Amino acid sequence: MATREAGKKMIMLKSPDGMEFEVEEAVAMESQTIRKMIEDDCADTAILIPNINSKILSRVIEYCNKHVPTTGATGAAASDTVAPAALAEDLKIWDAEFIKVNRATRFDLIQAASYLNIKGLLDLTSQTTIDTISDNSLEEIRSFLSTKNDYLPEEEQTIRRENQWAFQ
Amino acid sequence: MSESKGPGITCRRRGSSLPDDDDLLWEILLRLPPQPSSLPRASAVCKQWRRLVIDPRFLCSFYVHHRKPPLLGFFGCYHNVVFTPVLDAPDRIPPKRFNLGRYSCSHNHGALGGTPHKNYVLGCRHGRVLIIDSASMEIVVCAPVTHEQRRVAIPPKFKKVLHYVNGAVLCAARNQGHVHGGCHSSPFKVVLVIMYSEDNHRPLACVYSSETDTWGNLISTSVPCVVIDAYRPGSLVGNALYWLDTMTNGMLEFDLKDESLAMISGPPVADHSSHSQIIQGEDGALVFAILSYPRFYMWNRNINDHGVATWVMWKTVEMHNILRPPLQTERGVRGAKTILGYSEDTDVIFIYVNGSVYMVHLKSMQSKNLHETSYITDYHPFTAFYSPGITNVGGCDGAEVLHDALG
Repeated sequence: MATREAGKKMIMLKSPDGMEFEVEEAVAMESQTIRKMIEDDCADTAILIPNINSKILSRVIEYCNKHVPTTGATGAAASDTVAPAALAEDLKIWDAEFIKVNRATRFDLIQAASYLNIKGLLDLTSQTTIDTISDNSLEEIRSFLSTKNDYLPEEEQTIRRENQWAFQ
Repeated sequence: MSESKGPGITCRRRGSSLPDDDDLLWEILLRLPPQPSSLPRASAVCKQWRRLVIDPRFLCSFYVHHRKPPLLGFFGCYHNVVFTPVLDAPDRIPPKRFNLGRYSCSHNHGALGGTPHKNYVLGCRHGRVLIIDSASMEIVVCAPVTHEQRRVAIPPKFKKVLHYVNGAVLCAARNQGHVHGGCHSSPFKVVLVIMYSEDNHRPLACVYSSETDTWGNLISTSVPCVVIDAYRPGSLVGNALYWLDTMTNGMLEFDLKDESLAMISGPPVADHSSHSQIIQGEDGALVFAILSYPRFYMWNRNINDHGVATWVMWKTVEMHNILRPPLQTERGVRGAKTILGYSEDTDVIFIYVNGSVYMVHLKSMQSKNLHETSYITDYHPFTAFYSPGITNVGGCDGAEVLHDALG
């Protein structure tokens, strides 16, 4: 596990709606997109995050704060006395609570996780979406995701016939 | 994974609908369950979804994300080579979808000492089924998902002793990050072995490569050895294939890297019968499993720093505690109990106990009663990813398409 320097380097993240969030660099670097900017020296003291509004950005930071290695809830270095399995279980419970958001927020979080390249958050948000729809009928899936069925009826029938067993 | 997908996307807001960006949809659909109905169902949602889930690049990512293909069912020799699904609807692929054609397995032996004109399934691996066609003296490699097959003449040395031949098929894809299970059209290898050679009492092996469409040189053991009964399907453990000689507890080992053949001894057990199976243990260890009902024993082959191998008892499982529903009465073929098959990809064994076939997950030791039968035959588990519109595509590797599609 990586060790952290005693002095915490802070950076500023700005949302397009003008909000500023001061976060530890290690927390911001949970995003591979931001990590690359910092490592390539493209980051000034403040980084503008386009497309992600302050409400969503604050949730993303909350997620990164929880998931950054070696950082506990109090900001103290991770205790050697806590078993990794217990930490993983704690994170799992935390994630399950974190993702209890409405559909629109979840879709925004998927976009933010993808743009910022935060694998854990992308896994969590995408997997939760898939879990929600995987047992549903096609009509329910389309309705839940507001996806338009652009097949002609005969086209859809052909696709269903191709693997009819999968629709039983 | 699509590492290149993150930055640079554009954001088009449509209220609380899923973003219509292909890259985001890719990330989401990647996480569909690996079960066979997932992608066909997704393909029927809308044209964008279908375009994505039949894209070979997406399929490669899907395989990499899931790592292990699901166990769809098994092939067995009844009157014909037949697929039997093990999943529940909607993932229950009907036998006719994986119909391989006319491979009669009828027990129509010729005169004593003559060549029996029947077909044998030698094994299933990496999305392919290996069959011996005794009448035409060919091996047939079938890819049930794509309905493709290749027929290859058996080397002359093997034709003379066809009823002593065993073998295995395996994917030969060498591209980095290749995940088996979607490799229906990747290059493949077939390893054939003769258990008994009249010339010098040494087993022989020969390797076919689909890339060159040729058989390699004959490979023999360095010392003479006797193999009596190694006709059960082989197991791939690490980088070697193993065929168990159930009469001696020894096993033939074919090292795929060195292309060398050796006979190695099994654990010191008295009950050497047809109830044993080579399986893969933790960390890729070679494990000798024996069903000695009501117990299931697993022996681990440990190799010390000096290269000396010893067999060590690893686990003993009381089958009474495993089989669900529990056995009530003695039924079936004289209370026969045996191992029918083993799936390397999913760590599942098929066992036959008193007329019932159970599928046992070796990691969790959860079991499922599949069906009842009085017919005992080898079960060749078939694991694969399933995609709509996959027939005759080039696959992840953009590799060859097999010849001779079934008529």
